[in-house]
Amino acid sequence: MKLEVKNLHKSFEDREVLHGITFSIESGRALGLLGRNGAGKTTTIRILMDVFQANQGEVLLDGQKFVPSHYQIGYMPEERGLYPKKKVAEQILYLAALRGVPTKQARENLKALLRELNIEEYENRKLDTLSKGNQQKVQLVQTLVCNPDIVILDEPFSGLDPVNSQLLKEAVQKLIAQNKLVIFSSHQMSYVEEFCEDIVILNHGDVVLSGNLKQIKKEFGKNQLILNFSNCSPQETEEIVNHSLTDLTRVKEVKKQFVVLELIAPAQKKDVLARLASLAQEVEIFGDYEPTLTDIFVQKAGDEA
Amino acid sequence: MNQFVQVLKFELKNYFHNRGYLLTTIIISAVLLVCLLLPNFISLPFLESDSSGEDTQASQAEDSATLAIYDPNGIFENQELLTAAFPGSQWEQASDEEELKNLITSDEAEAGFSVSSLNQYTYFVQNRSMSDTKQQTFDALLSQLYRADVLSQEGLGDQTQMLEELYATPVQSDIAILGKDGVENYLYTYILLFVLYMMIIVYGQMIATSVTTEKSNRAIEILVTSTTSNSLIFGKVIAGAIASFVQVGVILAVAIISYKATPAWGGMLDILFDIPAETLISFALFGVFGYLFYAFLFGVLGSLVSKTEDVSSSIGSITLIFVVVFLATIFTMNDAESIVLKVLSYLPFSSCNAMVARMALSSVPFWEVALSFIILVVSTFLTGIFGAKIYRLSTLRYGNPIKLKNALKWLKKSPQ
Repeated sequence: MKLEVKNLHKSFEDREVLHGITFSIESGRALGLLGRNGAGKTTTIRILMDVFQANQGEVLLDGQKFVPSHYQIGYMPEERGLYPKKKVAEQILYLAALRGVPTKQARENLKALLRELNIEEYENRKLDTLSKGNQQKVQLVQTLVCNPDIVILDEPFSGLDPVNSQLLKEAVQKLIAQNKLVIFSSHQMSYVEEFCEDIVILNHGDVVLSGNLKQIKKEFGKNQLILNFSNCSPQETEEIVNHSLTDLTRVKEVKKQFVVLELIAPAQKKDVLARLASLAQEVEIFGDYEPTLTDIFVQKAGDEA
Repeated sequence: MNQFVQVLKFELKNYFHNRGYLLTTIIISAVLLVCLLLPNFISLPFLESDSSGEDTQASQAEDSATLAIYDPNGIFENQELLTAAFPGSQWEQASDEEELKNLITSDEAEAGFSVSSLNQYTYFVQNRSMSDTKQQTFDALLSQLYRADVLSQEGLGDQTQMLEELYATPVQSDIAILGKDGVENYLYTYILLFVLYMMIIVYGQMIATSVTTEKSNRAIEILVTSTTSNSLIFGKVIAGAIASFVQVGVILAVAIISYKATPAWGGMLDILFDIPAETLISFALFGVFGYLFYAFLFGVLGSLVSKTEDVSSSIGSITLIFVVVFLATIFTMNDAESIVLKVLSYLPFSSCNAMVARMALSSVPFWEVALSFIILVVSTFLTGIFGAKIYRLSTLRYGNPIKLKNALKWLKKSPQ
């Protein structure tokens, strides 16, 4: 399956919150939908879910108009929502029934998911008697109980301890392995890097960056190197670079363990390497710079940070 | 349709498992059951005296009170006149008005009369009650004495008895009601309207709160992505309607069966329980659609706020409208042909009350009933459709309460 979002516009009253966003995602891959608060992520998701209607643009699945009601979609909203005073099984089965899952099938799926997430014993407990982490897991159960073709996870890891995060990670990886189409929205970049092959960064309702994460990282790291001399702090390394390499490179950023250098055209990596070999200082770290997703995100969406 | 059924089942289950709902139904039914079956097990004095046609003990108890009189002109030298007018009464003579007042304030006498002349007196009583008839009795007694005195002065004293009998000549009359008996039907009509009033107010608030609760606990996030807003609001509202009509039906059934199973009542409460089928059918039809009309409005207003503590203010306006039309119906029911009641019987906000009242208390042409019913059904249908759209637009907007005016603007601008 290939889901394509094309030129979506959405306004609330006179305020346009999406200015023609476009991206695509294929099944068996996870897409990281990123953006600061208010960037338009939730609105985009709600348009995908047919909760909001776009003012302009379209969503296609395999080239055809995407009709959400024709597919099973598992949605885990950022605003966690279930009935606090209802028993876990009762409300999950109700939500499954609303999505058209036969009761017997829903019961089987429920049991399997509760077992997988180690919360079997809470099946007949009221939701508000569970810890926050277990409530979060129940949210995931409601997301997956319909055995969805498309899974949309909005901040699924918020509030989870490391043990539960690991369980959830495994569940998400399993979804990807099952060839599901997974959209993953989170501010926790480490998880996005872990799961997502593709990313879309939204800023003020515009797509400011999209594509394959590895390619993006490579592109962002192009003509950039990392360097640190032995027995030198990054600041001391910066001083040496500013003294001896100014014709080839300049210091772009000083990190905790190294400095990031940007090549000055037409200089190349081998030129820098040759110059370093001529210096008396022993090199501890040297190589191509691969930025973290946080670096890329801050650069693209951190205009007001 | 399946989704609507699922929402309906879920909401009904919520009602039927709700302790408040169950306890209210059980307690009210139990109280009615006990009260109405009571004459089967113990003899109730008011039922016996009523059936024998004798004066009630209550009225005797009233007459056996101690009364006081200040009579400076000696009009009631013959105290037998007083005891004849007030059977079983004891009379205290006061020497002046102050003593008369003291006798009453010290509870030595229940009430008192300060008689200035044959056509002037003051009635003294500590607390006046609606059922106090002593003043009327004393009026009649003093008038009789006055007439006797005037006749005596005119030399017609020997004809006093005849004239008094003339005054008391009973007139026999019959009434042939060709339409509805508005007097006899008034009580059960009032009760039916009050039942509907309670159903709309109580369940309307419950529906609004239920919608807001789903918004406040964010369950709505999952619900609107799992089903259509039409299924959600229609399921909720119709579940509320079924739950309320089941509750009222159970209570009414218990009451009617208990009453019918107790012959000792001797038809005394027929005025309450012997409701014509036509009235019950009109109540059911107008009641159901009137209820749904308001329930949709309550549901929509509930969706405009995100916190349950804001529900009361949100539904305040519609509650006020309903209270006003209910009171307007009640106050105009005395005259079922009044123009106000006629106008109210066509408005969808009030026809569930006003048309039921008109049909119970007077003869309403069929076309008027049909027109009113069509207006109500169409209004209810439109309210449901537009209500579902506003509900959909409002449910995922959190924060400050949304003004209905703004919600309607969004509805106009919505690309849907």
